Amino acid sequence: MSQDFLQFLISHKDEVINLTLQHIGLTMTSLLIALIIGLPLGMVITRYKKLAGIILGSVGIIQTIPSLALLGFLLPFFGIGAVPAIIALFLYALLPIVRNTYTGIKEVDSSIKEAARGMGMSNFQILTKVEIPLAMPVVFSGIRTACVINVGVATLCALIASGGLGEFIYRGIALNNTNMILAGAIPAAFLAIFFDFTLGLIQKLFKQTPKLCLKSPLLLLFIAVMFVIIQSFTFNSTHSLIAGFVPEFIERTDGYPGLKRCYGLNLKIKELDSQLMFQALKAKQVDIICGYSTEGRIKTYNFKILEDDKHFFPPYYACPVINGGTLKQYPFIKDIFSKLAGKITNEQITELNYKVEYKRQPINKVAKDFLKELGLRVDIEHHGIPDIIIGSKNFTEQFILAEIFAVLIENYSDLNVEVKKGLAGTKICFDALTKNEINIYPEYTGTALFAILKPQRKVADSILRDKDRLYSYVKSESKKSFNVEWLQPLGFNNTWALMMRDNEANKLMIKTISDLRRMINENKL
Amino acid sequence: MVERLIEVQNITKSFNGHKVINNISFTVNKGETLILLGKSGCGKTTLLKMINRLLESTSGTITINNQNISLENPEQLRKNIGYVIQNIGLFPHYTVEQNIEIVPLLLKWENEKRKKRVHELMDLVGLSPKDFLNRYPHELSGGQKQRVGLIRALASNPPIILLDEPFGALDPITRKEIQNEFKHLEALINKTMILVTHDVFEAFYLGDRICLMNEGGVEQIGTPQELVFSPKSAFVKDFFKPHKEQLDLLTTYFKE
Repeated sequence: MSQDFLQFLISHKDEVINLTLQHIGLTMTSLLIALIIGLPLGMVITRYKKLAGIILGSVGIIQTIPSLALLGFLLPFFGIGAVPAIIALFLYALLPIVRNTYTGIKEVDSSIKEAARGMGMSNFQILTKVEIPLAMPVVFSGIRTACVINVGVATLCALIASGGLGEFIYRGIALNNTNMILAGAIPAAFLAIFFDFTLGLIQKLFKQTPKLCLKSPLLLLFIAVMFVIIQSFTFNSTHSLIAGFVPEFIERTDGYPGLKRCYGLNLKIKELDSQLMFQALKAKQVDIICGYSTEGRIKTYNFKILEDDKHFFPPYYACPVINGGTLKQYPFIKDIFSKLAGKITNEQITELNYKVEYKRQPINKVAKDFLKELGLRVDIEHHGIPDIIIGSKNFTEQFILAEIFAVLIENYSDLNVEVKKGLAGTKICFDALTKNEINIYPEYTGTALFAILKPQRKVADSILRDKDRLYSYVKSESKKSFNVEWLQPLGFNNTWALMMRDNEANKLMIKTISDLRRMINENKL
Repeated sequence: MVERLIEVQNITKSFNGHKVINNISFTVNKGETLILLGKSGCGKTTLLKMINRLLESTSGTITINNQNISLENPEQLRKNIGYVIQNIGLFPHYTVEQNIEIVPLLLKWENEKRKKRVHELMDLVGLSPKDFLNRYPHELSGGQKQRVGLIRALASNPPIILLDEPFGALDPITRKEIQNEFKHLEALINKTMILVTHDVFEAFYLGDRICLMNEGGVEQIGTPQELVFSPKSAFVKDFFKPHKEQLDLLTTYFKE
């Protein structure tokens, strides 16, 4: 096991080093800014009580904002990449630094301060000769805390293409590649320990020779400068086309690697979170993304889907998949779901997505309205301990399908249903299904082939072009290997779709993926 | 000829509309030790702190050497007045030497002059420089800390010293010992001192004159004998009643 891991590290040596350097740069730059602003701020508020309350309250509130939400909020203003990441990291580092500086200084024994004043020291002298030196241990512990927090949060920032060890972690999760996850997590943990230890040494140095303390901000400055230099080397010239892909797409064989091979496409890639990629494309932070062809936002944002002229992308027909044991226990579920078989077209599912995302209708209402149109019952709701748990992946279409399944089962049986939304990825969903932590979720045939079953290339190629053969294969293999049953397809094919901004595609005269490749090669974009 | 050094005239101090010091006037003569005596809350510490402007009076004037102290820079004022407090307030991150030389350093004395002064003072109170120069406050006993606190206040040789319950944090045995040293300390002979205490015996032992305070006002100022044998009010009489016999003895003994 550990042999494999070491192998992995060695074979990805360059990337590990590169990502680690980026991670250090992100952490140190944001820490430096937090020190420059936070330390003086902490000192100032010890003098003004009213301000103290406001400032401490504010930095405390910032801390409670979930990291991804904060990044999403910064996106329209600062785009993607290192800049919003550093801003977010700086904001998170503020609380420990400001609060500890404030507390450290306030806690200095009042007799000492009184004696100092009585001796004729000015306020500035008291601050520099008495309060700051005596507050140092508490201040330092705040800095160390901020540093360790930063290393952790920096792994999240990989989702907005800031780089850093988080990239390995997310890609590893998408691929269920443990070695890759560890290759991101272990160096990050090591960095945190290393920084904490080093800061501890610096703290000791401070105590012994206070004059030396002036040198450590210089060290931080040095690292920050190095980071800026590293960034500028990986920085793209302004005219290149940049693609922003989710980690799963970057790694799956039916994703970018296969696309690259089929079309000879070589793109500059940034790793992005699925929730942020639409904003990023709209805000011109990236030029190409890969979304789902049934995506509701395509309409609202004026995006154009590039035609897959070589028919590279396999079919992804959506079907309910159910745990074998569950189906045995409640065989009537098969009949319930036959009411949906083939009943959802591509247009219809896109419309449902659109209603939820753009018109902001509640998912429950959208699901019920759709079933009503099919002439099905929707009014019955059950409460109580769930007999069936329906899972879903982390995007709108899955939320809608899961809700449709739930309403259907509750209206046509006595079973109580609970919906568990937002599981982060195919592998996680499928594993939950086989372990019976969820009983049903919506899956796609192509996805099952590439992300779960992973057959040999020959086998895959032989069944890929035919959607029915693909369905049969996936159904029989899932039953055989995992005791998972595939119910009848719902009707629509949600395949990957490369998208660009409509006006940009028109300007560059790109209609198909081959056009894109030609454009890149000819203009060296 | 007794020279007036400090003059307090019609001093009032209010906190949030509540009068803590009510129209007090008195003088302190050069070279004398004046005790501000009273029970907790009578305002003696507040009054003391107005002399080195750690607190500002609400109205009234204080002059030192005929100069109105409110016209002087407060930090400059304090560098020329020694200040000793109950908890001493030694800087825990400074050695004994560094603590003592704080004010001379603020006054920019030369290195040699400072070091000489520190040695001098340490010898004065029996703290051998060899052993104690580089010790930190947490390595000192209560009595040793107190002595360092005292000589720190003397370091720049200020003519006036203010002391706020300086021996209050010591155990009774050490306290007696240090009070004794204090009374006979050569370096304090020509100093003008104002000492705050609630301890009657300390007041009688160390003071030339006593200013008995009550609820922000002065009940009587005078020598210990005057207060015991010629009390001006019932309050003064009652104040010393519990200890009358012992005080009689003390005052008679020190009657020179």
